[in-house]
Amino acid sequence: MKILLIISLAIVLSAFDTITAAKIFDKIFHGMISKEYIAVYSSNKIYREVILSATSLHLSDSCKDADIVLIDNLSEIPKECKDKILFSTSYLAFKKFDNAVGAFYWDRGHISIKFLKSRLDKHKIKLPNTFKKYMMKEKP
Amino acid sequence: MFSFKTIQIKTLVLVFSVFALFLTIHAIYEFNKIKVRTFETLDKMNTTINTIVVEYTSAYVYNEDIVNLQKTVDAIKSDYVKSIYILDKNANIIVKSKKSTLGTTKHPKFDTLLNSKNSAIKNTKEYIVLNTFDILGVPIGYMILEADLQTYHNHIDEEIDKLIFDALFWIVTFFILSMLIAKSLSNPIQKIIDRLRLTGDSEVLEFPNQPQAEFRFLSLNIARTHNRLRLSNETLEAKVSEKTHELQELNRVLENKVREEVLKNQKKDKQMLQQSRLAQMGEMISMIAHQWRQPLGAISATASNIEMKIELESFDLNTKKGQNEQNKYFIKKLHEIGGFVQNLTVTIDDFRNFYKPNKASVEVSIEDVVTKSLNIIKASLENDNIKLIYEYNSKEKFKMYDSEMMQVILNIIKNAQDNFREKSLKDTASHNIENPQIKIMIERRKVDICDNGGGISEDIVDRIFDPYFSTKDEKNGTGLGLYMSKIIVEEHHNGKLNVINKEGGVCFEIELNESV
Repeated sequence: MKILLIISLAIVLSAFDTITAAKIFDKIFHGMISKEYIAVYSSNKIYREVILSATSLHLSDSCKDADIVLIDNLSEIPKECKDKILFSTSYLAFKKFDNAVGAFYWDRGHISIKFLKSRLDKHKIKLPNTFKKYMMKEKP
Repeated sequence: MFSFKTIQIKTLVLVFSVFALFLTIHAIYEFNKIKVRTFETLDKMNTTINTIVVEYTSAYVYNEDIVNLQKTVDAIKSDYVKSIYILDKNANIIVKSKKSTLGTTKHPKFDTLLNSKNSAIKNTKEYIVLNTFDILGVPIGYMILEADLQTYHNHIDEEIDKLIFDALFWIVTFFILSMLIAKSLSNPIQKIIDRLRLTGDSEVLEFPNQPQAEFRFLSLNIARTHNRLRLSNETLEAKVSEKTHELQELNRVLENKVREEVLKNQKKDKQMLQQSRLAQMGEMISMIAHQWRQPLGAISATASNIEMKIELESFDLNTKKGQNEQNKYFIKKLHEIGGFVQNLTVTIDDFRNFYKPNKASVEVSIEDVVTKSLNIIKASLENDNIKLIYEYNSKEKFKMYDSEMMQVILNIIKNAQDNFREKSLKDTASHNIENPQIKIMIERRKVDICDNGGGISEDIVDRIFDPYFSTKDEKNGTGLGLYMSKIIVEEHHNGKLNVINKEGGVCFEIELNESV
């Protein structure tokens, strides 16, 4: 089952444009953290490529040194990174991890970007006004 | 600018024009609104479709899921939509409504749309809008929506039809309303006019009570003025009749006075004419004496010759030849005496004609009149060595009073002769005229009689035609000659008699009118 999921995700991820995705993550992460270069950690190969394609994102080799940890449905988060700021590319992961402050995912034709206010506050993250429409007060 | 027959028509036209103006403005406004509304409908349709497509296909666009994109786009049903294109982020068409297309071609108007205001081309020929799919401002694809303008035009046509129907309804309604307003406004005036028409000038005018204050005031004043005028008219008519009678009487008296004065003047003129002729008669006797002297002398000489021939027995009466010669001589001399007597007869006939009063005008040439005048005075002029020069350029005959005209010509020539005589009597070098001459020129109806007698002094030239004005002594001048000449030429012949000083003498210019 797991293999099937991996294959299907791989097919989906292979379809999208890495550069466009890099631009989107660049925007999202710079909205969250005011730094010129943001260190991002991801265990997913495709997302690692996306981070590498972004102009203002830096791919961190260790989870410990990362400003943001990019997770997906299948990711396993190292213990030392459990307190780090997590950002999800899956609704389920967003729901599952309490440290996941936001998510960027799609459900059939819909594209969603979500942030949970309480989790952002916990990490003292203040989003710009342009992100207000993506803000949620209730837990997913 | 325009004139209307009645105030009712004028009010109708004015009120209806105001309504029509408002209706026209409203129609233009509505017509523009129809266009705007229709475009708004298209805009709403675009917004709705854009919202739906963005909501339900962003992920498909992001992932270039053509199958699902085609399904979603095909599911959109609208009369206003002609085509929907979905483009990838490089503007290549990946989906077209009802037709799947691979992302190889670019939409022909993509660049125009991208650079245009609001990313749209909106006019009556085409309505194309470019919508962008983006995530946080990062474009992931585009949608181009082409509206079906046939539906738009059909919609406008429907709206215009409605507008025309409404306009017709309002035109009829406004016309009826205008008529009612016009009638309502003009009715009181019409009633006043009708009453005025029916009331004669001599009748008392009364109007029924008018409900409106303005018309009440108007009708009361008209009635008051009419009745006042009626009374004034009656008084005036009586006064006019009285004054007319007085004027007629005065006119009659004046006419009688004028008639009397005219008769008096005519009588006076006649007397003066007669007086003037009598004065000329004395002068004429002298002229005739001169005229007769030569033929009488010739007759006397002929008679003496015959007597001498008889006494000297110049012819041999014993012979047939002598008897024949004497007979021939006598016959010749008797013919000569007959000729002289004929000459005397012509002179006396002209003289007699001159004194015969002119009762009617006769057709005669001016030359004949001048010749007859000269027959009387010629010998007298020759006796005074006055040279006569003639220039006759017309034998045209026309109607005139010939003896009156003879009187004029004789009078002017006699005046010239008297002037020459007076100057020769003074016998001084400064006054004596060496070659006295009188020149008579006839040109059509104009006669100029000029002399070289030194002219008339400028001091008196304006008065020479006045009655009883004369430069001669009392014995020789009555002062009526030139006055009567002027009367004869200007009043009897409708002509002109003028005098001017010219070339060392005086010229009298007589110009006769064509109709006497």
